[in-house]
Amino acid sequence: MVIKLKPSKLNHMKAKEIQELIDFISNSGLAEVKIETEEFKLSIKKYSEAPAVKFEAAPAPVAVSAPAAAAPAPSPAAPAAASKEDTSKLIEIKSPMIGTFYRTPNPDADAFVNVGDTVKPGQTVCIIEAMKLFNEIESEVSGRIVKVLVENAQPVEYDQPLFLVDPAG
Amino acid sequence: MYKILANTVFLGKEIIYLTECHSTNEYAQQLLRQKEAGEGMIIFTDKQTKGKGQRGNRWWTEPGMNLTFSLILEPKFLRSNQQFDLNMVVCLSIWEVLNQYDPNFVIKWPNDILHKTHGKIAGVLIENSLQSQWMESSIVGIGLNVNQDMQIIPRALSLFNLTGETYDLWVILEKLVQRIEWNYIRLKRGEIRLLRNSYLKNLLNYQQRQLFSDGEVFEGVIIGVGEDGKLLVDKGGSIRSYGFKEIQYIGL
Repeated sequence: MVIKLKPSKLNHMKAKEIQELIDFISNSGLAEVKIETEEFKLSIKKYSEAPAVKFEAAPAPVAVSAPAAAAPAPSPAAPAAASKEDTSKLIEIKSPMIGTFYRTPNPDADAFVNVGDTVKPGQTVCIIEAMKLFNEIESEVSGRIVKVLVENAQPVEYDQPLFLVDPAG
Repeated sequence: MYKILANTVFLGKEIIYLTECHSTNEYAQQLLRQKEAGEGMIIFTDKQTKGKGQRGNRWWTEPGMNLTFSLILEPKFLRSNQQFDLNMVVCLSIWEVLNQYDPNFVIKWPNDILHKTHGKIAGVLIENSLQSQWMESSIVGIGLNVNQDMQIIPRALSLFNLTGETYDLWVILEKLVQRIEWNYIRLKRGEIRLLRNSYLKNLLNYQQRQLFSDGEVFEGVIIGVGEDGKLLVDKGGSIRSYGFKEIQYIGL
């Protein structure tokens, strides 16, 4: 799949926006995404764990719609990998507020949940702290934690995905 | 030992007294999880062995000398992004009670109560449980230094240090809970603007020039608190908003 964006927008992409794009793609169920402008080519291909990112300056102006020679071609194994890594059925637990994300009830304790744990609705999965007020965030779904999307003690935005849950798990 | 508060409508009608307890907030949390607690319940202890302060900090107290208790509220009328409103209600209520003993108390954003010259007398630790965009329950933990001699601890004091008198903890608890209940009802009625104004009026250094650091030291003026609880500061003519830990007061 090739996403076409206006070059003027892409040229001003910041590291954070690229990170957001990667997060979006990694949660989208797409196996591979290529973005090309006259300035650069961005190719994101998903493997088992984290998405692999290849970001390089284009050596010469390339027609936007032309297939990129430098981008990795889909290998024969890709369709199988894609179905195995199908994330479209996964559910995100999102942050209901802006604040700081904590995985543990206090600094000495174990994490509320880890990858592989099953969660039930109403179960506390993390704490978000804002202005010295501490908020236990409960899961609204049941399933198995597939991925923790935010590092402990990092700031989070409203509606930012925190966990990926496999409802079938 | 179970007692109830007589002069309230719904707070403190059920009080659990523990001779000793790790943390009244944690105890309240356990009861909530087991569905054995509801709005208005108070957990009160004489001896808190692992009192919680700001994530990891401890709140030290001698047995039977100070007030350490947690109050369970279910502010389901508040959205999760309105939770600072409840914090303002609690701080203002504590301030209103302390103001009966000495006129020099102030609220230090976001939720400490200080004496202008002698330091900290009370702290608040609120732990909420959210159900998507709404508040489900709040555990309001309050520590107030009453009869303990705090002189050995820098920048801390008790009511005893201030007046030389000792106080019946029960009487002060009753005053606090009544006041919190009254202001909580006002919040529920939609009087947030009045409550916010009172919080601001009694906020340390509100509308006064002071030194801050947000990475660089500057002279600025606190001009308010945002709806999200962030501190609004006039920095060189432009208004900035700061989260907790994003700004420090200098020289206090």
